[in-house]
Amino acid sequence: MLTDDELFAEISRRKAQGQDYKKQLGELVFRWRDAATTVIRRVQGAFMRGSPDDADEIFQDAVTKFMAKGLDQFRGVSEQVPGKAASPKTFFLRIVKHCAIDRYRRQREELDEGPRDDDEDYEQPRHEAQKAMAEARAKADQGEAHEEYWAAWERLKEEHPNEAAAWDLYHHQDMDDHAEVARILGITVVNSYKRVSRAQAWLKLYVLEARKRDEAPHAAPADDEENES
Amino acid sequence: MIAPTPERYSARVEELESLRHELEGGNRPGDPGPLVGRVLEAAGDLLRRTEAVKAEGGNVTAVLLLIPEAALKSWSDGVQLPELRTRLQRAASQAVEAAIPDSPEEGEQLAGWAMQDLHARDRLESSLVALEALASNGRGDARVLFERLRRAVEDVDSACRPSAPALSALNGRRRTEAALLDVAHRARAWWYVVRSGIEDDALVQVLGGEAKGRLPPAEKRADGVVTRTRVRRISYDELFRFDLGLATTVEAEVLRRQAAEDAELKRVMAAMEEGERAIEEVTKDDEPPLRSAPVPLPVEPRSSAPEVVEERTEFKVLVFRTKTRVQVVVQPRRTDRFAAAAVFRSDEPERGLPSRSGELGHEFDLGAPEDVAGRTARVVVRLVDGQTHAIEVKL
Repeated sequence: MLTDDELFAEISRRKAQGQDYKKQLGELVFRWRDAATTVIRRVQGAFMRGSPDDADEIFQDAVTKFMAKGLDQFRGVSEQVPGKAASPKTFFLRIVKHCAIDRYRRQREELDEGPRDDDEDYEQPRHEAQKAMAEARAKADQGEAHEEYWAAWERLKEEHPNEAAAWDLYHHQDMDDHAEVARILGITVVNSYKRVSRAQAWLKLYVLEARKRDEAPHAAPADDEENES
Repeated sequence: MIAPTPERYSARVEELESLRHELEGGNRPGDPGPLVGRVLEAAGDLLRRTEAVKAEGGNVTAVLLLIPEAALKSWSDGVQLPELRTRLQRAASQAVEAAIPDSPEEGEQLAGWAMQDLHARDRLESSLVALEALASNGRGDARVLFERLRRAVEDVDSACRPSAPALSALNGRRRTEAALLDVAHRARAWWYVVRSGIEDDALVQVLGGEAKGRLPPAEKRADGVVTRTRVRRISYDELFRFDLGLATTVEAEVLRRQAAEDAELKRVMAAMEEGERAIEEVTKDDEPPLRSAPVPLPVEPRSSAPEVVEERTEFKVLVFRTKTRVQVVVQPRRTDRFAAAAVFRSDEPERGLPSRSGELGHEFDLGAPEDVAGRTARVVVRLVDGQTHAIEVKL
């Protein structure tokens, strides 16, 4: 019987050559199943949540992640930090651990009432029916704004990572102090101001752009011409 | 040097005359596509600016009719629409940097580059107008190519036109260009026209908070969406990278700050530690992977690859050996639990070595390999709860 390392090498060889490796991978992760269950139970204990039935789903989720990204990630990590971290089993168990954490973290978040950042005030009409309608409309708007913002944020991270890093500290972490942002990023204070300003401009432009695209199928092609010179 | 805008287009009359001679000569070696491209651009520039540049329309058409069918096909095969799309996206991006530059000189340079990308779209428009003129003069091949290209270019425009508000820092230059176009062609030239009014000149600066100004309703809404206080959820990938010791300084800082204030994230960190202890327990009896153990797509270890001498939940100790230096790096893995590290050489046990903060963590220089050979170093790491770990490192 092949050892774990030999079987893992075979999987990697097959993957590199574009051959099917699901059978070998299935065999390998099956060997680690008990260890994975132990890790899942300990994470469940830390969250004080979960049932034995969850273990199957979490294990499958981890296997999917290992196949999708983990094999390449493992190669990268084992090159950067050789040593104990280079064991594929340890690496897989870390994926299991994070899949379990993600699951119970999400469950707790879903139990929380509503999104975290949508406590915007809105005017409340006097009649109850109107009030209910206004509340529903406001909630829908806030949900839409929430999605628009995070889509714009993902684009900013992708296209302008330096500005995104500055904005992340300044806005999401509520640092509100350019000297501190500059210190962490290793840039000048002036540069921090500029990056945050550009980030803000880009985010707003991305939100506008996404709106325009969404509206395009329903609007006349020259819908923005009122602003032309 | 690029000629001032009106002169640039006036020069097209002479250029077209010169291109006519080249076409009439007909014996130019190589691919005729680039020559045809220049003819179409020059002709289209004139056809779209008949009021600003006086040129005989009949002369322009006469030159176009000299283009051989095969040469026209060769030109159309070489039109790179994905590249045009990239250039328009880049123009929008550079225009924002030009509006909020790190320095005024940089702003001017970026604005110039962004305009060059907009000119690329405009030149293609000129080529299409010239192609259409050729088609309306009875050239069936030009009609087919025109219709195909027009459709494809409209797709690029649909994708890029919504980014027009980003171009507002270029408005002065865009207005100059737009003013030279005939009214009939101006409406299509969104790259010069959309959001180019004076009222939009400072739009990007206002959106970025660099200038004060009134925003139209759509921009006001976007401003509200972006400036609302938000806490970013730390993602699975970020936690995973942090766990592997691969988080960037900023990612680690964000995590540390958020964990200090967010009870849920604190719980996640505790679960990560508990999970890590479980992993240590279930792997403690495993054979350590051999250096020769096969790894996926084997890569030769780099000469600068570190030796991991200690790996704990809270930190790692790495030793880097090069021909000239031996260095110990203490890498915090749980910034919320790591307090301090010190390194002492066995020949100077009372003197802590100076450290500096590096890319991988706290770096301690132990000296040249020949000076430290046979000695040991003692690495002492203190955690926030007062626990201390001491590790002996053979040098």
